[in-house]
Amino acid sequence: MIIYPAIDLRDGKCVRLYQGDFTQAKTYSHNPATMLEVFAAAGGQWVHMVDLDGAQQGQLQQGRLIGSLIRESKLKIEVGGGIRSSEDLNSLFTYGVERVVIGSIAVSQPQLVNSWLQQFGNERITLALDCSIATDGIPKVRTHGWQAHSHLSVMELLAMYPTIKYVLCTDIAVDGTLQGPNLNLYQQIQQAYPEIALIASGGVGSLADLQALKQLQLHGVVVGKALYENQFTLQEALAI
Amino acid sequence: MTTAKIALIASGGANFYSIEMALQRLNVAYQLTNDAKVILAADAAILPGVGSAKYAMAQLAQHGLIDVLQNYRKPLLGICLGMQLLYEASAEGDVPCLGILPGKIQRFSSSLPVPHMGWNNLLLERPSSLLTGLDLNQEVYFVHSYYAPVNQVTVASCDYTLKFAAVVEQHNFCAMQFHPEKSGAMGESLLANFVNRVAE
Repeated sequence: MIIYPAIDLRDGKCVRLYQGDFTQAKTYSHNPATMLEVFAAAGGQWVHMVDLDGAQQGQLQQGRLIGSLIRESKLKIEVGGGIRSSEDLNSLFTYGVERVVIGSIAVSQPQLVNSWLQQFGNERITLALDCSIATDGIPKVRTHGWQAHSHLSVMELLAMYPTIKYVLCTDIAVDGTLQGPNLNLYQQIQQAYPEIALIASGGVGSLADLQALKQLQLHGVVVGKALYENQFTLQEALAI
Repeated sequence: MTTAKIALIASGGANFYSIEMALQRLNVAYQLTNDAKVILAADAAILPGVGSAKYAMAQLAQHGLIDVLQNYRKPLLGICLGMQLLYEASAEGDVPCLGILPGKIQRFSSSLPVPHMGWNNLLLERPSSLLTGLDLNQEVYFVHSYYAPVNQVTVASCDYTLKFAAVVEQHNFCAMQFHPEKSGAMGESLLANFVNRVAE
């Protein structure tokens, strides 16, 4: 299982949000380059990076910073946040980004995102879904501005992506809480789409959480706040 | 309200909200179930489906429903993936399906934008009481990346560069590739035609 330490960039700093809420952002480091060095020194291979300003404004904002961070680091990096066009993908790949993370536009424009999968291949794109579990137990997709009128389930959305490989799924109810990931959600997705390389995100608070995810044989897991709040070290996580 | 009761077959992970709302608007009694006994006792069954063919077939097998559906004698309506499961096999996960309808489910060619998503109209292939009173120029709502070929069971087709089966019927089995429950008045009329069959 690949551990993806998370770096969420807001105005050039490393922050974490609580349950995706921009008003509840906490700054952990003013220097993302240092964070990358720390993760690399611990033996990490990958980093999951989000341009929060880009996600909020619907357009990549910190591309140049991301480019310079990648030049100085040996880590493989997947980047998301406000990516809206194939030009965005092209420029991120030029910066040396390994995979581009596609979020809300995957819900609003599946044909466009499928055309990117065809153009760039399914090794270069991660589909990132935020979801919340409805009262009937069905995981429903949530996107910025879509909350009110989307009844789309995670399974329905994935059915629109016949060639997708990497899928990152976040249960926003547990994101940033350290209360443990939604194991049931990942199990459901894996059963429905066994060919998908599934990446868990949200809620990891302990090494036991990572062990539980590993038992599900997930492809990977994004770890954010737990590392920044020193619940465990990246070295310990990688040793699992 | 008709006295008929419909078994709405729950194949895991699907979203039944729209179909339940549509049945409620039609004032039809229904029960969401995976229980063979309930399905056999009902007056008709609806097989919706979301997710991958492979998973849905595994779910049906797990609940002992493959034989039940293959030997079903009452009206059964398949919707979207639920329609595709009625065929011999699916290229989605390369999996054998129920084999009730002849033909194999194919993926749309890679030169077409997938999914085929949005509103499209139907083309009549042969008459059926399912289409009674319907204006085929009215559009219905599709979301799918795989399709069934047009053949002897096709009642109406749809054109997405190539023609594929949109409404199919064979004996007591009928099915729709689009989502009648999301297709406004047209979809509601189609569902009503199915329900009226059950009531007869």
